[in-house]
Amino acid sequence: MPDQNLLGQFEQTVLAAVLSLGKDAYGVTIHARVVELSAPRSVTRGAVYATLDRLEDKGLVASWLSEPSKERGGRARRYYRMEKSGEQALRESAKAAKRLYDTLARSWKGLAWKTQR
Amino acid sequence: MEDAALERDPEKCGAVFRKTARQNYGPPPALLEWAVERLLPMPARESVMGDLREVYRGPWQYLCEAARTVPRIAAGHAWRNANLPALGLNGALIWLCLAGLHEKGEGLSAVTIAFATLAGIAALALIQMYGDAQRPTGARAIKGAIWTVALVMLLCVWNFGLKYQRSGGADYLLEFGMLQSLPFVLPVLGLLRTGLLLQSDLQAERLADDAPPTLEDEHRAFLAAVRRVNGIESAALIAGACLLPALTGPGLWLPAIFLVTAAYLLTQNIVQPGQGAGLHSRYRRQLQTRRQLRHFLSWLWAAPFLMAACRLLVWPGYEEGRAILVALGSSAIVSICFLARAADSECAGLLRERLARLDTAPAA
Repeated sequence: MPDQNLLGQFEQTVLAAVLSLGKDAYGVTIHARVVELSAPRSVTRGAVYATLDRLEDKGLVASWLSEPSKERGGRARRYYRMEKSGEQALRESAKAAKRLYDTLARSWKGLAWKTQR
Repeated sequence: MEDAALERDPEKCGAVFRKTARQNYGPPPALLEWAVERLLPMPARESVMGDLREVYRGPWQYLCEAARTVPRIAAGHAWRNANLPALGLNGALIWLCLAGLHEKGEGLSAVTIAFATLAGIAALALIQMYGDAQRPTGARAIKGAIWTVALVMLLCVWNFGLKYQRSGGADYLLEFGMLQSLPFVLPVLGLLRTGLLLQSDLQAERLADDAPPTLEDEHRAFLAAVRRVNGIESAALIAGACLLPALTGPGLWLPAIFLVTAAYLLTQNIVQPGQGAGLHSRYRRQLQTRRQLRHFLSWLWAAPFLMAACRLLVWPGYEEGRAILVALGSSAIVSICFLARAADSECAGLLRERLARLDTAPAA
């Protein structure tokens, strides 16, 4: 039986965005952070919403609506927060990525890359 | 260029992003915003429309952003929230109604019925996705009854007009009887609609007063209530399946749908979908699938009475040329459809209010 908390690459990116944004994680900011994390690949807003819905279905994030605000035409924001199971799943993904990195570093003798800011 | 930099700079996420983004651009054109809102599924409208407005840079950018966003959201919602068994049972019911017309020699072929059934299922899925399931106010409910009767009367007048043109005049008084009976239906409909409204108001008040302190407790109470109602309703459906032939004739299709629905409700009591998901998300999905199931059940309970009205009043009336029977049957059909629709909208409204409460409270 497949583990439903096994994350795809894009799900990892979205979860990482939610985690890093903390209390300010809602559609606009999450998309902006995902764009940053996925550069140079472009990411549509629709893909982020669909992934957030899927993560919520899996119980990895929780969402709620804020009070409506004037700058949004009297509409509310849907804020997201990572659940404990989401944190656990993201840790597992990070460990897997680290194992992959270590293996490559050993094979290629001193793998290193520059992060572009 | 500046916008791209703004989006890519993580430090500008949040408050700075919002402030900068909203400073130089006015709101989107109202018509454009209205059109995009209509394309979004109901549950996503509030947050996504607000997000799109927040990142508005110009009409063309808004349109492109909406084109990239809306289809994914719509497809996701359709897939996640569809209650496929309920849609399938709805399809069976539509098939049954159309096949009934076929038996009466209305000239519908099996292929036409199949296509019409598929179109009906698609339309239902769209209605459930985009429909605004709000409980109406008292005034709006009564207006609904008035409009329904007025529309049917208009159709009667139009139908008679055509008939007289074809036949060159028949027993005008008898035909006019049908039109006369409809205004008498109006107070009955208004009264029953008001009763439904009051009953739902009481139910909503009771739910608010007895609201359990935690989400877990509320969810547990909801599941217990669903199990209880499912048990009672499946027993009633089995009993109904046995009694149906007396009301609707010897056909086996409707009793079969009753029995399949009863079996489905009983399996719902045993298996709860999405056990692995988070409570918030699971509860939300259960409310949405429940709403679709109630929609089907409202019409399933109405179906035998509609068939009986056709079988005992409308068809004999047409065959024997007795307009009073046609009038009574037509009035009964209008009333049954109106009440099924009203019961469905009240139930959907109550479930939507629960969904709204769930959305505004942060997950525990």
